[in-house]
Amino acid sequence: MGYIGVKTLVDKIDGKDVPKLIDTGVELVTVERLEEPKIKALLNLQ
Amino acid sequence: MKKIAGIVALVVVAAIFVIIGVVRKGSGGEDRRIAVIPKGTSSVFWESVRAGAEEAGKELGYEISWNGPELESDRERQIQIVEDFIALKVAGVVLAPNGSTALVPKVEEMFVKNIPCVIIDSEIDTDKYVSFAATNNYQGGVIAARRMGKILDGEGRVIVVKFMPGSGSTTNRENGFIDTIEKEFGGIEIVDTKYGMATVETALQAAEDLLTKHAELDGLYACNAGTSVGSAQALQSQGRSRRNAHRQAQVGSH
Repeated sequence: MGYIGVKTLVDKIDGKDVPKLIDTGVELVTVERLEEPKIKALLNLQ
Repeated sequence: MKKIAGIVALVVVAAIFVIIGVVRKGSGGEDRRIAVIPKGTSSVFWESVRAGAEEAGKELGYEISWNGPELESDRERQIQIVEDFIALKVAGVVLAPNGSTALVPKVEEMFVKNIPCVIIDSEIDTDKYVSFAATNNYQGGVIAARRMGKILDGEGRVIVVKFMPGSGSTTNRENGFIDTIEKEFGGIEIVDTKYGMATVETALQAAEDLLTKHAELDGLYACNAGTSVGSAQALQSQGRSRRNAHRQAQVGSH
């Protein structure tokens, strides 16, 4: 969300059209899924 | 000797021009700083938001100025921080408003002053911003309710540890959870709810109050990072965490 926020702001500064609403998505994370690379990246885990 | 003094003088003059150049750049709307303001700085969730913001800043050649109130309940402080960044004439602001109405005047002021503002995480009660980027928080609550329904096989007594009134993201999550339990799981009863408020300590206290009040419970839904940690501690301290039955689940977003 931080990434998308900054990227969208810079697009606007650069004069590009940006959508009024951006859905960043929802993901169900369970203990079993904590080792998945996608989940680790999402939760900023090393 | 005179020649050397001349060269030194030239270098000094050049240095002065460089300094003037830098100052001009800083005050003439060419600023390369973007302010990113979280709802609060004390939760681990916001650290992942910060990491994402800094990654984008590096990629796009902007410096990220990260500042937020320590507590997500501190709306006055967040308003002050937005005001300070407006005065600094940053290139733009990314804001996660910690009050959906409290921050409206500052967001509208930025709109009038042509400071682009992207809202993230929690909605705000105005449309005077560039873009709103967030999880569909209501849907997050729906997913959590269905998970709860599955774990409990559609039957049981559940409590909800809410966050705080006026916080957009968590209010939607709470409503998504409660609406879905009521609509889809007739055998599950939400017996009580309580606001955990802005710190792990207050959330722990709220969860303990609910657990003490209700002896027979099968599930607990906590709606964000702080309330989850406080609730988990309360369950542990009361010896009521049946790990197999109450597998912790989290709904996350970038």
